[in-house]
Amino acid sequence: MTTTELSGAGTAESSFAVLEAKSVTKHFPVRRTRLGGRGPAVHAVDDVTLALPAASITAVVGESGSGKSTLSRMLAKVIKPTSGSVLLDGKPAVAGRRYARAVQLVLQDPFESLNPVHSVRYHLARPLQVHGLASASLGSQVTELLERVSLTPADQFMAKFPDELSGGQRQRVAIARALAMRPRVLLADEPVSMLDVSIRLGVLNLLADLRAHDGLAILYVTHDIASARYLADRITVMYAGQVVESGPAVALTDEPAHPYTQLLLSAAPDPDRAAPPSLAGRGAPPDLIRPPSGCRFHPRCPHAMAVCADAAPPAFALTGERSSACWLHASDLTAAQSRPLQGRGRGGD
Amino acid sequence: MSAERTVPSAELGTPGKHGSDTLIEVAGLHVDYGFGPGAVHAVVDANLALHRGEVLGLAGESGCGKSTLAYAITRLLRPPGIITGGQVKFDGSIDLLSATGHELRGMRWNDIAVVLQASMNALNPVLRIGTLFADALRAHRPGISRAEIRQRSGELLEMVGIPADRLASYPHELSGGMRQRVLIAAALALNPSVVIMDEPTTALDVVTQREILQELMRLRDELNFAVLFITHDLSLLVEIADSIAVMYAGRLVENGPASAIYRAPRHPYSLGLVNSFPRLHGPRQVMEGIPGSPPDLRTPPPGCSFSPRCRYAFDKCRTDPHPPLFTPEAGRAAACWLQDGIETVPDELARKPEEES
Repeated sequence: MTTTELSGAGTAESSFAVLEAKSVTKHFPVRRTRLGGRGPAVHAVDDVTLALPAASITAVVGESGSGKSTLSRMLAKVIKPTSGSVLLDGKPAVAGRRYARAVQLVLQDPFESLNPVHSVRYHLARPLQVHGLASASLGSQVTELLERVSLTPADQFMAKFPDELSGGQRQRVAIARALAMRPRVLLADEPVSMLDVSIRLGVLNLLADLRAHDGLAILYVTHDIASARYLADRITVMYAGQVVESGPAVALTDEPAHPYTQLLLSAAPDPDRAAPPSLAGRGAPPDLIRPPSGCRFHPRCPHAMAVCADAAPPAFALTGERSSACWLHASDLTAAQSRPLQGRGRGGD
Repeated sequence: MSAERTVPSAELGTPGKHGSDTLIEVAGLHVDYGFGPGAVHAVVDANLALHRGEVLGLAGESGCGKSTLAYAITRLLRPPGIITGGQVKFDGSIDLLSATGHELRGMRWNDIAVVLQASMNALNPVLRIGTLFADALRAHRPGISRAEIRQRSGELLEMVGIPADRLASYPHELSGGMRQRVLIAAALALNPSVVIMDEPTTALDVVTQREILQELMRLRDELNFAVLFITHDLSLLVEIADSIAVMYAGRLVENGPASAIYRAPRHPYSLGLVNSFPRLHGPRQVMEGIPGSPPDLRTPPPGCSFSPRCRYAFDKCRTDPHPPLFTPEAGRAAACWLQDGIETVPDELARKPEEES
């Protein structure tokens, strides 16, 4: 183990966003009414804005149902936002081959995302052919892709089928396939959660390499805040379909500003913890068909005030390029607004 | 870890049960899948002791044999799994491997209870939660009255933080965390002295996981049962377990007190595992994990099964048979030639437990 920082580009703040989500919202209807009117809907993602700068890894952290995967699929243009827009290089983009060449998605489960009847060579050569990027030396293009994801010697891997590979190797093939398009954006949805502990770091370090050497803009979607801290330049925390906090990875995890981030960190496994953990909050995420009024976290929040149940907090800008959507950061609340909510927000025991 | 938890003395144990301090003792256990030359050796020469009131963590990656070991101990192993050797003793006297079906049925739930990972699959979707409790109570306490069943089931649910009126719910009406709590409550229904948990919180969100673990630890302190906690998540075990056994490719390669395994591992694989978890504090460092991937147990590597991935491996590791468990110091054991007392141990594998890594 060396004591150097993971080599980030370090210019994340100044560089410009390759891919951006502007106030994207996704509601999944749960039942159509007979006359085609609007029925109830799952508020999977509500008004989320996120920018992915070049040569930088942005982590989106949240529990299941937080909307993090829906967000990554909207960014990949696999599903269409209910409202809001996705901008590539600052311009609205349409889904299609041109878009797929710039933005690639890597999914969670490499056991399902590779076709068991096709060889590794086919998985990597096919997208090149489909997109007209195949040169006369297709074999050497595939070799190069395998080498970029450290599957060496490449000749040995080319003829293999997915069932002959370990989980980590499969995920590397899935990443190599995404890289075949020479994309500028890689969207990785829980890329290591299905992998064995001992090989997760290898895949995370590969993503770090792609940031440093290829200048990729990378979205790292995860439920594991420790791995986000390890890998990402910036972390965005999502709760119940909304962004609650975002900021530089280390600053955000060292001093979380939003009560939900504090809860997540108090619950995360941490062998270095000095005292037994005390949970900063209770309960489970809300029903997203009828999300709570005001701040969606207020029913679980140990600091909930009257205003939290009435109005959704805006994202307050904090120092150090951080922001947190919590009324605790507001300086101009009235006494009535900042009254603690009765019978709520019991702290952890 | 704040303080070392001490193993409570035998007097605190459930009254009426035998007095031995070692509840489960596994000696030289071998488990194969299939037989003949094609047999896969899923568990090789496992030695393990679970003491009264202790939380013993069993850590390892998928396919290392940790669940197979648990199934063998509880005699829940199904064909083609075969126990080919060794001994499993319960409470110092009862030989679990030669127990008859009748004897096993008497011990299950009463003495040894099991909680499995997939809570949705473990609960029958067409039966109410209350029926599950009633079944278990009726089977093991013949003659128990309806009122008693209702009262005991309600108590059990409330013990894990679920209102008693949920007895009337079906599994699909409960969240994943609640279902897992129901299973834990059911496992505790008859006051067992041992609870075996196979990845009980793996499918849950971190906050729910933490709530359940806190509940479990509280119940452990109250009821003084011992837990064999099986998981791939070593960072979690360090927090909750008293001692940890690390398993790799079918063998227990290291065991010792939980904080010692984390701060001062003695086996290169444990060291690799410890270095595979990004930290939540301090400066960010590049971590390497462990190169390569676990071996295919159908074609295990010669010598030490970890040697192809081990940065400390030398010739002996590849040519000699698998190293036995050496005891570098009291209370520690590691199956590595580096710890045989002759080789020079690299600094990383000879840390004092008090030192920070």
